[in-house]
Amino acid sequence: MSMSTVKLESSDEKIYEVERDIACMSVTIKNMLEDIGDSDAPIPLPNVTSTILEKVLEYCKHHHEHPSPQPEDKKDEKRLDDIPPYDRDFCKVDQPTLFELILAANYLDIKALLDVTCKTVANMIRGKTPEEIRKIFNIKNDFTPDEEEQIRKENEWCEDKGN
Amino acid sequence: MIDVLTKDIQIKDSNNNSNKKKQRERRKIQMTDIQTISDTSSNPSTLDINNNSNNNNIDDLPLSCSTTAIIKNQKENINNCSIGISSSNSGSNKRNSHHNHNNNNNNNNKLNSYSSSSSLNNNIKINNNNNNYNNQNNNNMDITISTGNNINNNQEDIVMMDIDSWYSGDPLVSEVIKDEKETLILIEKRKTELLSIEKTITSLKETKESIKKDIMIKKQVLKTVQKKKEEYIKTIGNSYTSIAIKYNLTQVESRSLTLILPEEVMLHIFKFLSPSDLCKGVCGVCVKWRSLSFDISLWRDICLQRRLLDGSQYHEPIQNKTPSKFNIEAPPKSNVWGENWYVGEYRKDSNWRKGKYSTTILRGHKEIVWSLLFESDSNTLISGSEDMTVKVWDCNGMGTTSHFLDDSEDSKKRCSKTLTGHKNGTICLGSTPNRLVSGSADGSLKIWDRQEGVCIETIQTHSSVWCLQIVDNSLICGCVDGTLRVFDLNTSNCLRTMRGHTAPVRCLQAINHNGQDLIVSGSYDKTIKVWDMDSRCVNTIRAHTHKINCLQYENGQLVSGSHDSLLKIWDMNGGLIHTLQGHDNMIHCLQFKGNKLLSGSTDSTIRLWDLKNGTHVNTIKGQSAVCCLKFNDSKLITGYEDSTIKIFDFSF
Repeated sequence: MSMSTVKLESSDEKIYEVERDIACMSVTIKNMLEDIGDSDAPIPLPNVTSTILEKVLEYCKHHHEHPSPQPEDKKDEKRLDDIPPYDRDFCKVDQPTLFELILAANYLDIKALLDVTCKTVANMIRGKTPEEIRKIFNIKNDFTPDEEEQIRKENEWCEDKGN
Repeated sequence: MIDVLTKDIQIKDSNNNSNKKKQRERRKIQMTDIQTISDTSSNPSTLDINNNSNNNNIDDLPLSCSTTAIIKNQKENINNCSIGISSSNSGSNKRNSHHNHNNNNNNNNKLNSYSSSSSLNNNIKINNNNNNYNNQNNNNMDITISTGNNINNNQEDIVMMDIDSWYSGDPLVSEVIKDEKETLILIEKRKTELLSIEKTITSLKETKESIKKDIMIKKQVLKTVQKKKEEYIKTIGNSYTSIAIKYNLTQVESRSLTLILPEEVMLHIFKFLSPSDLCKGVCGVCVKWRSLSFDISLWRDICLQRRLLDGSQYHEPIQNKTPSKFNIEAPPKSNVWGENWYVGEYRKDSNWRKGKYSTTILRGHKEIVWSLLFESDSNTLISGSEDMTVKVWDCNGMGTTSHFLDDSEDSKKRCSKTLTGHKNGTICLGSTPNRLVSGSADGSLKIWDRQEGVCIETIQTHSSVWCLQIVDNSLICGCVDGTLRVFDLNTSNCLRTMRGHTAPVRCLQAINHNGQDLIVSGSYDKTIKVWDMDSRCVNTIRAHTHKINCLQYENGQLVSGSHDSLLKIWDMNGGLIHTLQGHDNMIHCLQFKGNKLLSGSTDSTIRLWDLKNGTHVNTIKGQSAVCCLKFNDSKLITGYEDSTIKIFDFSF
């Protein structure tokens, strides 16, 4: 009989006791639990700070309590305007936090969280010019003028109408 | 107005003193402009002016009295003013007096009618500025015009005369009066303006106050927001610092958060973007993003999503040449889009949908082009025409020189062979690697050697051949007599004949449906028939209300086009899935591949349809009635009633 709660340890050595089912929304944690078997020892998550782990657990807890009726074969998952209200609010954080959440979701392998955070970033990119995107993410333009001209020419075909 | 007012006026001194003294001076005034007719009971036809001559102090008089004074003055000064009023007045007085005695009743009637009109203006104030006749400036005069009531009361009415009326005929005065009135009007106008400006000022002041207030409020909001901003910036700054420490980045580097994301995560983000965002935005951000933006898996997903790939196209022709999936090195300097096969596919599809193409016209046939074959590998085009010939064209390098090429010389160069021998129009074509087969309205099938361009065999049938297909070593053809015949290509023997259609067979296809070899045929008898290999008709679909011209089967779906201008999509049980309506005239030809269905019509257009949902995507204008068409991913080749062939190229 497995325990109903597990302990998670953040990179800054804070320990969180959470329901096993909630923790197992992370495929990484689920695999770890399977590996170590029944143990009282906290699971170390050296890549996740307590601030981020708290947010991640908040997200998992909410979705555990409010399971969304998501058909598995939902083909239009790439639609950008389908972020549910809770998730949209959840992602209203500063950029560093958002990116840390992405990294945590990626590391912990929580698909729903990864999708929603990546969608949020995609929404920040959507409909923007390269210059605007560079501004948003503070990216240096490392193209030569020649390359820029070439890119412009190459992309002429999709200029008139976005599909 | 003055005319009306003064027609019937009695002017009297309102001062009672004048009445008591009975120093009455009657004067009848008749002027050119003013007809004066008496009112009052006793002497209706006379104009009474009660003048207090003793009263020299004009200023002491009540305001209404001044009129009298002015009149008196005027009388005294009349000679100085050189106005011949006195004499004419006395004359007219007599005349009018006499006249009125005789026509008293009459005048009363008149009076009533005048009264009614004048009563409208019973009490009028006029600012009089009359310097010529009076020392006193600005005489305000009350003018009372008697009404019918006055008459009934049988009283001597007090009527104040507008002095202007009296002298308005005077050339000197009239001008001044005019000026006076104009000035008055101007003053009134300016006063109104002043009033309105004052109102505006008041309202502006109010606005000013409210804006001031608003600014105060906004300033407070600003303070709060700025405080919040500072807090946020501090928090975010801390976050960046912690990220910088965590990922061993400089403070500047830590600001470029996309640096810390692994490429697979970046690609995951890009997967949520549209092709146009990838091409217009992402691709131009920086070298790394650019190389990620044409990642193969990304574009394969896009193509799959848009059903640009059918089952047979899952192979990746340039996979070997393409750098690994997460290559972050600078992209090659050549046209990178060409490096990604999927991007090319997407781009062509986009051109199809938007109708962006270059065109080349081939001229050489002399009559209707009935049939086309296109071999993509060698870029070879074969055409059959009503002019009895078959022509072979070389389409290499087409569409690269000009966007719209129509050059007979170019056509001549491209036409590599002209096969002659049929005695009537060449209606249909088939090919094998070494052979060409043509079916003709002369009832024959000719087999040609491709290399030599000579006819090596002629199969004579009983009627015109309108359609054919080569399957392995067999040649299946549909004839005007309603039969389908199968010939052995090697021996030219007729192996089988399928009878059932009651009118010419216009189109056919040998298919494999659910593992079963079948032949479908469409006929002028409006039906589609399905035949098995034992020449049995296994199904008849009463497909259209008119002749069927063309059909095609693929992946369980059958599409037919008819003289009734409709395209219909069927399942193989004869169930109708979609009816595509849009062409304005009979449909001659169709082809579909993947999700793309094209149809050509007598209405001179080629229409592009979405096969999946049966919607119209685009219409391409053709040369004239479209008799035949063939397309692949990048080219659409069309043959026309006007003997031309037009090639649309979408791959740029």
